[in-house]
Formats: sequence, C-alpha cells, structure tokens
Amino acid sequence: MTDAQQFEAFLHNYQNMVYSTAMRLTANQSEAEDITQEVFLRAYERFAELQHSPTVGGWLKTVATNLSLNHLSRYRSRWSFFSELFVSSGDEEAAEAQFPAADDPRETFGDMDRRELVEAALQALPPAQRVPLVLHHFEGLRYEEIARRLRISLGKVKIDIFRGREALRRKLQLRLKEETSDIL
Amino acid sequence: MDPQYEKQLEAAVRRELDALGELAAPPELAGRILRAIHQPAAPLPWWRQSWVAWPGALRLVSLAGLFAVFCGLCYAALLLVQGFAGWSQSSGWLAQMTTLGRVTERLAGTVVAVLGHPGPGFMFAAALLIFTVWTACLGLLTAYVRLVLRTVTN
Repeated sequence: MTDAQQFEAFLHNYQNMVYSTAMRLTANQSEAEDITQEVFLRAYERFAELQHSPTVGGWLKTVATNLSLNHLSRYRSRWSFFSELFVSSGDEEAAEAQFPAADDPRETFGDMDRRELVEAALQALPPAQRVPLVLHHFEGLRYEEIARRLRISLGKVKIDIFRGREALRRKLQLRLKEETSDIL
Repeated sequence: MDPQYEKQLEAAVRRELDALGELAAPPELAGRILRAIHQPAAPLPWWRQSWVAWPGALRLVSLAGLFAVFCGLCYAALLLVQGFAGWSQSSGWLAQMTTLGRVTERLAGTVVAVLGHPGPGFMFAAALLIFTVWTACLGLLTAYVRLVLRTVTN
C-alpha cells in the first residue's frame, strides 16, 4: 500500500470522528467541513509519525476541538457575552427565559428518528450551553478544564451545562423519575 | 439547584447523548480533503503578490512612473521650503508680532543655510529620508494597484 493509499484509509477511518467533534461544537456543517479539512491537512504533514501512533485518535480529537474552539472564539465572540447577561442577572426568571418551551419534539423536528432528534436538539442549543455540554459529554473534559479552555468561571460552566441539559430535557421530554429508577 | 434533580437530569441527558455515536461526514468531504492535499494551491495573480514578483515590464513601467512622481514630490517640497523661507524673511511684521514667527523665521533660515552648505550628517539624513520616501511610495503603489485590480476583478 502506498503512502497516499495509507493516508486515504486513515482519512476514511477517522473522518467521522473528526467531523462529529467539529460539527457538535460549531453546529454548522460548512464550518465543520472546513475544520475537518484543516485537521487532516495538519495530520498529513505529520503522517509519518502519526500513522503508527496509538494515540492518533486523541491527537485528531484534540486538534479538532482546538480548531473548533478557536473558530468559535474568533467568529462568534458574542455568544459568551449573551450568556454572561443571564448569569449576571442571577434570577431564575432570566434563566427560564433561555429554556425553550416544552413543545412536542415530533412537532418541532418532524419525522426524525431518535438519534437525529437528539442531535438536532443538541445543535439547536445556544452556543453558550452547547459548547460546554459537548466538551463535557463527548470530549470528557472536567468542568475546571472547560472553564480554563473557554476562559469563563467554573460557576458559569456549571450553570451553562445545567441549562443545556434542562433545555434538552424539555425538548426531548425526558422523564427524570424513570431515568432515576433505571440507574438505581 | 437541587443536587438530586441535577443528578437525575445528568443521567437522563447522558443516556441520550451516549446513544448518539458519531455523525457521518458528508460523502464528498474525503474527496475534497484529498484534492486539497494533492493539488498545489493556485498561484496568486501578479497584482496580489509583492512588487518584486511582478512581471518585468510592469516593474519597469511602475518604476518609471514612480520615479516621475517622486521627482515631482521632491521638486514641490524644495519649492515649498524655498518659498516659505523667502516669505518668512520678507514678511518682517510676522517676526515682530509673535514668538512663533521668530522661531519659524530662524528655523527657515537654518534650513536654507544647511541646504547651502550640506555636511556629511545632512547628506546621510537626506539619503535616509529619500530612501524612506521611496520605499513608502513603492509600497503605496503596490497597495493602490492591488486595491484597484481587486475592485475591478470583483
């Protein structure tokens, strides 16, 4: 197998993972495609050392996450500002204002299957809630690390993630009691 | 926030998110990435490159034009200095009326004296000034051409 063929196989093996990371963080297909391309261009430059590395998946995810966060901070600096407004106000009414109405998910998202529905609900979250939620759930970052990466306070990370989960619960009409009995 | 409620909420959301798996990249994305890797980037048009990379004929024409503009600017500056020196010397009322006038008169006199008897320091400073103005003109010309052609081509 030539180097070009090896890289093509490498690309096909990891493109979904890189694209998912970028797509969930940016919630924008064209931006996610650009970021994925940039990640693999960088991987190509270091392919000789990456192709046999056992941590190549982690490397790709880290680069995709970093590029996505750079992209968000560069082009969408407003999202943290808008989120900050709600945090600074501190009252529950302001927090409630961010939650979407408890509508019927089928009505909102049409005939999608469950995964598409959850994915769409996740991408519909405001960036201030979606980004920390994705970093925590999909990238496995701790709250402190998220706060450091996003340059926001730990309290704000907790509040944003809570709001994101609460918004998802409403959108997806999750039943907490049943979930609790399942995990106990 | 109720810690028990938070735990229940986290568990419910985690279950949904864990079931998601990876998103499928668009089918055309891999081809696009491979093309970007294997195809060299298209070269920039000459007018978007630095002046030294312009075609030879264009560089000659731009140099000639720039030289004419530069000589015109130098001549205009010389005329301005001479004219100002002559005006400040002949208009004695200005020197008598204000301190500023006296300072200006002395400054203009110094400039005229220096121009009449240039020393090595003056020659060096003049050469430096000419070089700076020249490179600034060259930079401005490149930027101007780039701006005009970008507007025209868009």
